[in-house]
Amino acid sequence: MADLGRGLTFLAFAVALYGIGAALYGGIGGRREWVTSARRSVYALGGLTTAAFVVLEIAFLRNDFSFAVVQSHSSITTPFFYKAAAAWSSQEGSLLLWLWLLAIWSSLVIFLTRHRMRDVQPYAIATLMGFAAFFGGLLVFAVSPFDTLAVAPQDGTGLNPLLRHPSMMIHPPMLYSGYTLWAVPFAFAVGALVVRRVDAEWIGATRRFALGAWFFLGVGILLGARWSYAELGWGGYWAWDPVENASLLPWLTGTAFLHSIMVQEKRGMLKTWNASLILATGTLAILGTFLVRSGILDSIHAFGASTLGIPFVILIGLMILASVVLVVSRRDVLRSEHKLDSLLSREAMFLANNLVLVGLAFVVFWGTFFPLISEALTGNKQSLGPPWYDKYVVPLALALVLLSGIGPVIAWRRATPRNARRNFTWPIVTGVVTGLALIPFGVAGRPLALAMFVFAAFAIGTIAQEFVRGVRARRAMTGEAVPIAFVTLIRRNRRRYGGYVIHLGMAVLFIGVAASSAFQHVHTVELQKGQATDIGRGYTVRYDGPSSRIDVRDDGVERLVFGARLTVIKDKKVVARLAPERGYYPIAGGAAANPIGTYFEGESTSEIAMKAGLGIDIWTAVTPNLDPTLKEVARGDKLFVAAQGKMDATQYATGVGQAVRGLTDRYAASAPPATFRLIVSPMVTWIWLGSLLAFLGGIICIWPTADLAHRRATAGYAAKVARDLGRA
Amino acid sequence: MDPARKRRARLVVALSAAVILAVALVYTSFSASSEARSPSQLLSSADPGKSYQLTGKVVDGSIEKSGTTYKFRIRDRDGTASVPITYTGSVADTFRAGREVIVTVKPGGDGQFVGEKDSLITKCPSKFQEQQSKTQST
Amino acid sequence: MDVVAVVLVLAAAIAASWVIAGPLRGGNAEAGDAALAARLEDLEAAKEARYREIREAEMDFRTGKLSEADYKAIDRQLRQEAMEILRRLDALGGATD
Repeated sequence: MADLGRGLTFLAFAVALYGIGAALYGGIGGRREWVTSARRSVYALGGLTTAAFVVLEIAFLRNDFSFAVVQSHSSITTPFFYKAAAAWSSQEGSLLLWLWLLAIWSSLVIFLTRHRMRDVQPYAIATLMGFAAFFGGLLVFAVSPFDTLAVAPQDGTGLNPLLRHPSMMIHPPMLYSGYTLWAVPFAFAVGALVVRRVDAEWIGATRRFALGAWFFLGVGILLGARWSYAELGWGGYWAWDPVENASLLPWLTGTAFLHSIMVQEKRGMLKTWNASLILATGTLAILGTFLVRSGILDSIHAFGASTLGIPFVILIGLMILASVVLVVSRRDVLRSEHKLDSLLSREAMFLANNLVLVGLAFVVFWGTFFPLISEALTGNKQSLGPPWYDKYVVPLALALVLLSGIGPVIAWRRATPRNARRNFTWPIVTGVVTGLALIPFGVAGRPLALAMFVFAAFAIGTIAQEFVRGVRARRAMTGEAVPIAFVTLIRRNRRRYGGYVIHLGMAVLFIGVAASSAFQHVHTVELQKGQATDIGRGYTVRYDGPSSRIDVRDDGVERLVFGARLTVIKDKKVVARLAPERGYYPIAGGAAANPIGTYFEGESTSEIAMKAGLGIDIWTAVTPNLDPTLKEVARGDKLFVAAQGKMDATQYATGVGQAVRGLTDRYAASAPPATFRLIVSPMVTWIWLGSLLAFLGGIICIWPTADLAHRRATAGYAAKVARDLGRA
Repeated sequence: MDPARKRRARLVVALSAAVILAVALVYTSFSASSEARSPSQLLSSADPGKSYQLTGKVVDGSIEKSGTTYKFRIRDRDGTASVPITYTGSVADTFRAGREVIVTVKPGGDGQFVGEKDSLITKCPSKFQEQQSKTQST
Repeated sequence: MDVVAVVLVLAAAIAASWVIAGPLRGGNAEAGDAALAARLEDLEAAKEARYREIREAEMDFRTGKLSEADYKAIDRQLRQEAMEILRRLDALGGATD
């Protein structure tokens, strides 16, 4: 099986190399049959990589431990879902996933555009196959997922308990889909620049892929944030960690790109900017893929010094060089058709939005790479923390939300005072009224959060106004009932109204971020049984007592669980009963030397207990005090190790089981004090809701529109145009 | 002013604003950052008023907990030189002896170092490194 | 070496090569048609883009973001462009029905 996988991967690599050669040979020499052959090689790549990935998956699902990656990332008792997902938990498997996704999206775009932009196609194909050859080469020559062990072991080491969570398993495929989808507009931009066909055609053909990339990358980032908040023991959703930032960078520039292409499509402006932006986004996507596995930056995602650093640096260097050369050498055709007429125009607002997003990307980039930059400049490795990021990100985010309210409503080319009055009166009123209404709630002490609330209310006001006016306009034209007009409005103007829904989602998200960061209370406190503590905003938490249990699976003990029972009280009423816990997993194979201690030396995971609500989240985590227990464990270990030769296996196992049971029961009965991390956070749920809205808006935008009916006209062209429009 | 000059003026203003912001960014980053040090570097020289970002591995058997305060030692990744840390704040699930950690510390006098609240980051056991656990043999 | 694996890999290699080399063997029979199809698709896409912009301009006008004078001018120009595209589609004789 492993040989099959290896062979298929090698074939994929060879096909990718052929694709580059055939596409370039056909493109430069005008030999169409070679370009068609190159196109077919993309499809062949899709087929071969799918087969190779299936081989890997089957190995995981069949517990084929002769595969080194299966042995190190899975086990017989790993649940089915996690077995399937373990395929991309390893460096090798994740690279195969990357290559497979790239091949799938490439096949899709090449198929959908097979009759279009014939001069651009060869170079786009060559670029896509170039990426495929790079990753294929890594898989063939450096890190193969099909390496085998000389002797197939009975069982594997299993998946790290921290990763046994659905969002952590879907997170990589989402991110990689995002990264690989950015390769598509990147490749077509390269092709368009090479042949100097830099009108909006390459943009129109790849727009949905860019939207898809934005969507999946956003989902991946959000899943990471959600996992961090709901599963890890610190209670935050974003830490400005280098690896988090690495995925955010292409998302920021990609968002800018999605906006500025609208200006190029409408007014023929910003061509150089768009080309540079998508080239940068593609490069940042590769950089993000690289950073996560390089070990060059200190991060919570500790990836060891890997051997792949140098090839990636070379690839990124090549991409930067090629991008600069292409844009500079084509700057004559990239000249704008029109100029900016007024700063108070939609073009100007889009440009401002782009500058803010690129500014954000620059801040995040600088902060992420600062350790390396400072080391190069001063010899000392300096690092920047969240306070520095917040100082710059918050004002930029405020500007972004404000612009998202102004942009969609201001006129193209030049806004007039009359036009402004008509469009901005109600939204401004909404914003101001919201601000005033919030002051009694004590927000005046946090001016930045208040500003965010006001700006977000303003943006939501413009969106609501747009929907109302749109429905009204439709009803004026067709007389439909309001709900029908609403649906048809969105259906027939997917880009615009999908975009509005995205903006709405983002505004809600920023409200949640502002509220939960500015008005959060965090307490780390040790409580005795029965003791209560005030955690802020009128809430009290009382530690009622300890809990413990043993989670058992088919093959034995999965983990020991020690926890606490808490009661949350506000205004003398019980608001919630929460049971945070800690699970302690034994080390695989460690039972021989430390029969009981093995449970306390493996991984431990926090089970967060949370009462989430629209208005507020109460988040609790516990670190049990196991010192008394551990003393007994040490004694027990000595006893059992000494007894190993003297009992038969069943007696021994029963004895160990009883001892462990005794320990857990005694913990529950004795109730030592425990340390708690208690957080009161307003409106965190708005972040998740806002992002769901944004993703819904993304889906609306991506959804394919029905083809306008084509019917041959007997009358003139004017009538045909009018008929085509009316039919839609 | 004719449109072309107006555009040029706008460009100049925009570029200057960008440059000023970039300079501000760069300047504040040097003053706001904390130097990354390993334990042996910290032992050789540490300014009493300065914060340092310490990276290293938790020394086996050195973790002591009293209430919400942790005392432990951090050693060089490949070495034995270690520094004692006193820390209060959030501690990740993955925190244990032998794990690699990052924590912001200030010299506390007497060769002790005090960790900044909630600044302790414990690195996830790497997915892309060799496994620490033992494997079963047939 | 796993014999089954070798056989499967060879089979995959042969299948891939056959698919990929297909166009190189077939000669120029489809070239002319393909070029026409390509130009048609490019024109169709341009036409769809114009239609979309005409509708968006109307939407902008009805929701108060475009003055009537501006709207009429933009609409007229876009319709001219659409008609030109239709003319070229007809010239190629391939307007799809």
